Amino acid sequence: MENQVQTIIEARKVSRCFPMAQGEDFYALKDVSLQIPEKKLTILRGRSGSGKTTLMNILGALDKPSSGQIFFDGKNITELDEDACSLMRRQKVGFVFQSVALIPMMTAYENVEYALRLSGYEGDWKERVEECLRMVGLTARMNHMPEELSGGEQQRVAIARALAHRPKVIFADEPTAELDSGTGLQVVKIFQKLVQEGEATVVMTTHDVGFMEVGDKVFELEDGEIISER
Amino acid sequence: MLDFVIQKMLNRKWIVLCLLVGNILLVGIACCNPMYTDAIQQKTLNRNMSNFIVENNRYPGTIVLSAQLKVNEEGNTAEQFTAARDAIGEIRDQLTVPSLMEVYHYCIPKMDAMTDYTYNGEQQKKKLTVGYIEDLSEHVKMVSGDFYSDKTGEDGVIDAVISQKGLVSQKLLIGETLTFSELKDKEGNPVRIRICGVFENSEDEDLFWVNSPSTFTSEILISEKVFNDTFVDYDNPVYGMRGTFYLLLDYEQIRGSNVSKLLARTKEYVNAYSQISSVTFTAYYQNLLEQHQVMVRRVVSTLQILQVPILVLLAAFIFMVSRQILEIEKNDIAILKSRGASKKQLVISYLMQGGILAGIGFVIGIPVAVLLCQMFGSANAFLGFVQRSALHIRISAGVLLYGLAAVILSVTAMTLPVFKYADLTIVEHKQKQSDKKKRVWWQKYFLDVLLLAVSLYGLYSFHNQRDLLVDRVAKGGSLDPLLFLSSSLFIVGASLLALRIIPLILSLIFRIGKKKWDPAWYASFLRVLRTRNKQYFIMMFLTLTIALGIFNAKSARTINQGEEERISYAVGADVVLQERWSDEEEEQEEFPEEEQEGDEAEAEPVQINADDYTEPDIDKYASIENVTDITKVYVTDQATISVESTVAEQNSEVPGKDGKGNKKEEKQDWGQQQVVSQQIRLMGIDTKGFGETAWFDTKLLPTHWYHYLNAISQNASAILVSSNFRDQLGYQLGDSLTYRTVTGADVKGQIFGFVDYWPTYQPTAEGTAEDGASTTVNQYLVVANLKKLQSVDGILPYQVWLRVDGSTQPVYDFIGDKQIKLVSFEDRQSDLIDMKNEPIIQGTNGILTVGFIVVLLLCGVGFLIYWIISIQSRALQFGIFRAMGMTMKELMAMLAGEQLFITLPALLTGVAIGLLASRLYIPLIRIAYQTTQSALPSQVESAGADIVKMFVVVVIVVGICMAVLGWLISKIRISQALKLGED
Repeated sequence: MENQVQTIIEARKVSRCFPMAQGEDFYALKDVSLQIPEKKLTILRGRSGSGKTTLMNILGALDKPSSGQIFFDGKNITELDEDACSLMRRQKVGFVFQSVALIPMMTAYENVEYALRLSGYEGDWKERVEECLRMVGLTARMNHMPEELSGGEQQRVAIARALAHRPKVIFADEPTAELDSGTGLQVVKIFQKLVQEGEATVVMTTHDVGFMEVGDKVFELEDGEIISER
Repeated sequence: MLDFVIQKMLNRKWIVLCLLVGNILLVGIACCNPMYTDAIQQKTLNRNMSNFIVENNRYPGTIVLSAQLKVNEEGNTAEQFTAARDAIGEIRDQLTVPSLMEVYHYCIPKMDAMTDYTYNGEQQKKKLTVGYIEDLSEHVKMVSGDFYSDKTGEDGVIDAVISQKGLVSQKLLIGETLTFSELKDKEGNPVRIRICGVFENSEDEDLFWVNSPSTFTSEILISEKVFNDTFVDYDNPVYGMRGTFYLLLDYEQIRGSNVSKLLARTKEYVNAYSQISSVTFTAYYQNLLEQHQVMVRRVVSTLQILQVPILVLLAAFIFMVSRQILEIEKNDIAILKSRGASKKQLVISYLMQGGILAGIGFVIGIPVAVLLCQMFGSANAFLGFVQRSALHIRISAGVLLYGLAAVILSVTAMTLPVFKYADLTIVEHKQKQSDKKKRVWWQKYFLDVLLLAVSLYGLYSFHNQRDLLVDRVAKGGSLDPLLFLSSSLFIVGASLLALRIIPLILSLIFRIGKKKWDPAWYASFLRVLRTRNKQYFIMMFLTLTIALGIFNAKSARTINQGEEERISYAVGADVVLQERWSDEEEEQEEFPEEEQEGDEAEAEPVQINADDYTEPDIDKYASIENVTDITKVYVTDQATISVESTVAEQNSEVPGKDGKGNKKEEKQDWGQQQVVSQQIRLMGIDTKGFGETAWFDTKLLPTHWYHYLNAISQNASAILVSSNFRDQLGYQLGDSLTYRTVTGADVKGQIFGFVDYWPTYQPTAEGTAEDGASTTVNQYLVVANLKKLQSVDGILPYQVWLRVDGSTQPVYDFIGDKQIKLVSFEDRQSDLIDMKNEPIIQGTNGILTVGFIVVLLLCGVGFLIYWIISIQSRALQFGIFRAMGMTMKELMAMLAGEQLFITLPALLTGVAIGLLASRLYIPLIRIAYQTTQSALPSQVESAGADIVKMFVVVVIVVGICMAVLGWLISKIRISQALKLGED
């Protein structure tokens, strides 16, 4: 069983400290090591301030660890410079954030298309955009501006955008936090579907214990350390 | 609440500082106009008064009450006579200006007197005025003889003194006794007066001598007591007597603030005394002050009009910055609202903030205004300053009022946008955002088209009334403010129209390459196109700034250049002088002071003869340092041509009215046709020297003016004539024209060219029609070879024109050293300096320069603020872009793209509109500055150097901006930026 599942991301003894004004450094992450399995839904669970978002940002090359290494798809990304990180992100990673994170001056369609534009997607953009929007069930409203969409709809567009350029990993930071439970569940179902169809690996953070069941793998964090792994 | 407001302001110190700068400038600019007007008014008033003394040899603060006591008239003239004297005291107390002295002069004019002394056996008959001046003894010293005594001599003879000039011109001797047959003593015997002494003024500068002793050419002065005892009987006047009472006001105490009061009072007196036939009231300063008031009104209105666009721009700046602050704080506002803050509370808190800023702006703005004023005072050209004596600046109540008005304007601009934002709750805030697609109100109502149409209509109608405008300005009126308003409207309207068009063009470009744009530019395009309502203001601001800057620069350049050219053209060369050629001229020069009132008899044409003159050596001027060229120019306005009267009638532009003095009466009947003689200006030149020396703008004639000079140099009888010979009198090229010189000789010339312009030549002049209205009169010019004229007339006095390379001071030194007597002297350089000192020119240069600097400052600060805030408020967006894998470089490219699509079109439209507005409006605006009618065509000067300066500043600002923005963005941590969105 273990042999069948490939590891897409591996963190080795990753720490992240923030210098504080008082002089005492604050460690958001302390020597965290973990492995994210490919084409699975991994959940990082923890209360607010447990370090789960910091960990996710580091895994997704948005932030750099103070010490330790991250191997993404077999490559040590801690050694990459800013531009290389950006290039990596645009090719291999998609992000979904807790709050609305669409580009406000672009329509739903354009938001998704923009990910293709950035990654230099080779295929037919229109087909792919519509395909992604269909996946999240939003084809009807694709020419609306973000502000004309509800929170759940916006989040679904964000997911479509995150998966449009066929990234290896989609990171979702508390994607359900601002949505009502019904809509939240819908969003998680989309992630489940993506994983099941083999579209991508999904890493999702949540503070909600209710979603722990849907994860293929669950890491629980507290005070910057992994306290349980399932 | 105050603590809360102050804390909030401290948190946003940079942007609040910008707002403060805007406030300070607003108060400063608003206040410096009244301050400057007041100060410059004082300065010119003093200067004009001093000039008055130099030019008229009179004390400008003098009020003269002259009363006649008439014989054989019902008693009231006696009353009026004494009342006039008493009135002096009343006037002194009534006028707010302190007086320095009062002089009372009584006399019995022009009595026949016989000398005891005989010449060739006959007694000499004289006409002498007998009078006295109160307190004479304190102001004279005796040149010879003694001062008179207060008693009649034992022999019944009265002592009198006489001025030196009087002694000489009346050919009297000291000790001589005169018998006045018309004056009788108490016994009825003729009065006998002895000249006992000759006086002169005891001090060089003595106000007492309103008329200097040298003007007492036919008056003898006796003791007051003796005069009154012997001649005066008010109840039953025996002699016609004149009393002249002088009140000398301290003109240095005449201030800008009391001019109108003084003038009003003075006019009251003039009116009141004009009712009384025996009394006349004259105030020397009246004309001067009236002209001064006209000047002040012109300066005030012109400066105000020039100031308005700057003030509007400042208010717009404050409005924009306030809105930006609110844009950052709108979340806070929404939160405060949801926590129960009322709209009123919110508005009050922003009102407080505005009040604090405007208050500080007021306190600092006033000293800034003083500084700006001094800058105005030393403005010599656009963006050019010279050292001048500092203005005496007062902070009057009026100034504070202007400041207060500026504060109110500023607080309004700061608070107005609050109302919109204060209504927001979180829910509404979200809803509001979806209104973005709506058209902005001015586009919906076609305000841009409307403004443009109104301004163009204004331009059109002003063009049609151009002559009326010229006339109005010539009469001392100011230019219609609507004209300036119309130019401002044009700039605003055109800017708005451009804002309507630019996005359409951008969107077209965007569509063309929609698929191909790289991600950064794609995002820039979308940002600019989709949030265009947010960009309108900054675009508008930039466009207005640049357009106004260019318009100001070009206005200033054109006005200055135009005035300089006008003066250079009118003078003709660097120095134009004429020496005194004969003693006769000297005689005429010495006595210009005799009473000049009343109609001057038309001078009989004196037959001019070259033998009366001795030609001075003019080669001496060549030795003066800096003088490079010299030429002789003979100019006379007394030459004539014969014109058929029907044609002559048409010359004058007012139907049927001939210009006074421009046409002689002598008319001859030549059969049916009437022929009148038309005065012309005849100019004799030495073509080579003239070409080298005279100042002339070659653009004024169709071909280089040397061609014209060459044309007449070949042929002795060749002449150039002004174009009105062709247009009004029907002459053709090659026609011969006979003109009569001052010696009466008829000279035949052949027309080799028509000229619209010629050094010093004005095609038309202001004349007075028979009904007293001013009218335009054609001036005719004939330019002939000097040698030809001299062969006909002999050598008559001519002018010497000098070209001077550098300072003209050596010319002055030379003339002083050699004691050369001059009939006339004109120095182009000093005329130019005088022109630059004219308050209206100085103030215009000042305000345009200050305006330009303010505009640049605002442009820079406004731009920087706009972008800093725009970037700060978009931190989350940048986070998203970065998270999606945009590199730092691409992010910068995106911002650069936005600049390109917002700033560049705005700047370019600004330039285009500025140039267009200059071209349309400056020729009309220049009229306001033409003190006299200018022959020269007005052309809009290019201000290339200034525009380059402006662009250098803009490029620097944009550069700094990009650097600051880059630094700001690099500071944004993606992870933190994204977290911002999580709250």
